[in-house]
Amino acid sequence: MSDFAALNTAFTGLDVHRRRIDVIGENIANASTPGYRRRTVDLSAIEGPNGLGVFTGTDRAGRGVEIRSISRVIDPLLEAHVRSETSRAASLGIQAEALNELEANWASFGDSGISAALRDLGAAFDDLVNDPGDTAIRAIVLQRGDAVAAAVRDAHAAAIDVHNGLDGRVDTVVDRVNSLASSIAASDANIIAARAAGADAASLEDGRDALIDELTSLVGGDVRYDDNGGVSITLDGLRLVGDGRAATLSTARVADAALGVHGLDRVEVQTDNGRTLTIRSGDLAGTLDAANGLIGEQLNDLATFAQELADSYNTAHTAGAGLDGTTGRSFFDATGGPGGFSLHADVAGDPTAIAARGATAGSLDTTVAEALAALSDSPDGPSAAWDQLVTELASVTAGAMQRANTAGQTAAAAEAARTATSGVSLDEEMTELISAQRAYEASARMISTVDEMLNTLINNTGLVGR
Amino acid sequence: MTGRVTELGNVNRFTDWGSAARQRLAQAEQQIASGRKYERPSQAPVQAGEILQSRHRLARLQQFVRNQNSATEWLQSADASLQSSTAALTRARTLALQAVNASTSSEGRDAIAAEIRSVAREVLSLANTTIDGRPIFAGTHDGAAAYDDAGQYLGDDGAVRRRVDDDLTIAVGNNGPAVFGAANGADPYNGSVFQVLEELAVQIEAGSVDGGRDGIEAIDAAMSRISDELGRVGGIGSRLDALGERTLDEELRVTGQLSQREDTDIAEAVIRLRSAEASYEATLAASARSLNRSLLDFLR
Repeated sequence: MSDFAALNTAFTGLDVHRRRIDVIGENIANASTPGYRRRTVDLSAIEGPNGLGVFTGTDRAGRGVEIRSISRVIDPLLEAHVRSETSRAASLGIQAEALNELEANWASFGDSGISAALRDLGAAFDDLVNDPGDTAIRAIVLQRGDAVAAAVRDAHAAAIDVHNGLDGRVDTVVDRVNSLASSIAASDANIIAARAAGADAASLEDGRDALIDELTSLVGGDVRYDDNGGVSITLDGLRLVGDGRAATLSTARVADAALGVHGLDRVEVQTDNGRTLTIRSGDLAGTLDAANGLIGEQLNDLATFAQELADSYNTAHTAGAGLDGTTGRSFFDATGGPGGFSLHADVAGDPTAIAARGATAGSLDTTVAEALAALSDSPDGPSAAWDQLVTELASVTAGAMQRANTAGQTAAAAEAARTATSGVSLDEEMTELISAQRAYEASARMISTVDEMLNTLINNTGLVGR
Repeated sequence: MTGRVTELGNVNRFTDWGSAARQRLAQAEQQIASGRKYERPSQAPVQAGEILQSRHRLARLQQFVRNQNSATEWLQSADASLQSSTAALTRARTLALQAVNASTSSEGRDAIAAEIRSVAREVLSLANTTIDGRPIFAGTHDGAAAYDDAGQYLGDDGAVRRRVDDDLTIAVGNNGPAVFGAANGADPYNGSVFQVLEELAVQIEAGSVDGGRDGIEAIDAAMSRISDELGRVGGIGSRLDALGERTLDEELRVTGQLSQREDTDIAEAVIRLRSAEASYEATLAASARSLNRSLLDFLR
């Protein structure tokens, strides 16, 4: 063997450990970069020629050290776990948010909204019983009735607003999904090329993983990594990303019987050939469920309530007679649904038209006004029905928030587990740094030792005894 | 957990802890500032239902108090009117007794008859007693008077009611004929009190002793009807007083209940605020210390 071989061995050490220090530096620099997976340097000894023998080899086992690879520390199982949990939490979070918004508009502790308006109307009818001929009190009854109608319309408008907000959100999310999918497909091509050329693709992969994280939190989907570094994402049978290409999603508004009665359309996500996708998790799933399901259900409840409200008041009111003795007037008009709920044209603007007396009774009889006043505290009257609706909404919202909260915690725990595996620990890097530094120093010392040996050989040979 | 402690993990963990502690702090602050235990029903759906119940009940009770006050006003007016009517009829009876006395001259009888007619007018005006322009003895009639000048009943027999408690509706007004007698064209002494008095005056003018005696009996019958009504009004009045107290008691109780259900218990909330503050500060202190610590501190 050559005397210079030892120099070369020492040089591989110098080179490798300098690279290690570079990598440690990169890790330390990115210690708090979200989405950064720590890099590790895999070392291996350079093996000597195979076999020992007179002609084939030497008595030396190796010829230094080399870097086999610089790899990202990543646990595919944890990555998948984080993605599925984040996506589930996002879905539940949106639903809870939608319900919460609806609740903020509908529910109260009885000090505002429909609940208070109905109570005030009941009190006005009670005052009418005490003084059935007073047009001022009759005017108050009309005002209060109008306030009830306005509260019903407000509740309806609030629900429609929530639906429209969700509906618009679907477009925004789908746009974002499309742009993410095409970015992922584009970086896929770069990663495959870099890997094939043996270049360091880690940063590219980190970037792509961050995009995939965002994508899966939006729509869920099945993520698979190929051996060449490419990725494929499948969504309800659609290959959203694969072979460096991305599919494009679009939104569609489809007529739907259940939502149609409220003047709303069902919002759907479709592929470019018009197939409707079933989105099962992620922000988009939650938005679609809330827009097409939750809000629709609550609107149904509101419509049923409005009809019952109008029916119960009208049944009592039509049986009575106004100050002019005319019977058969309705009080509320629910023909336009909760959105068009109003005082009936029979009584609107005419306080004397309010029926306080029975059809055949004296003009200051109050049988009907008493019945109307009693509606506000009847256990099966509209007021009780609304209270029940609101309490149920509160329970549903509380349940949704609880579930979203739990899912959020699970997602955070999954994220913590991923960070524990892939994150940078400064203590660890420091220790590594010391070890690399010492190894570098030792390699340098090796070089100077060989140098001294060569010096002895070259300059001092033959000078023995001089 | 793999057990590796990483920088990002630390940061995330302390951020989560810090924000959780901050949230508890904000909630305690909010409870104190607003004076309410809950911001929205979903924070406590069951309690929300109870609060709604209490608030409706309170409004109901306040309405009962208003209805009771209105009822009391009617009953007091009726009572005053009926008392005065009784006094007037007593005077008419005394006069009639004088008239049937044989020693009374024809001029004296005419004077007595005139006075009885004035008593009749007094009773008529009492029967037309109104509250806010509404005659209280006219049933559900909406005219300005229960009787016309001739003593003809204008009202109807509808009942004027007030709902004063959950299951209690009382009749506060009564119709004229039930109190002052129904008109009887054929037999005035069996008719209304106005007919009785007019017939009495006519009989006295005519000097009919028997007619005068029958008139006195008829006045007695009218007075007993009025005193029956007085008894009814007084009975309802005293029941209403007792009910009024009960309603106020319940109102107080429900107000207390509502406050207990929805108002912040300040002492408890302040203690919670203190403990939330302490835990927030501890979290901050712990993270500040732990985030500072690394191997770098010990390497030279």
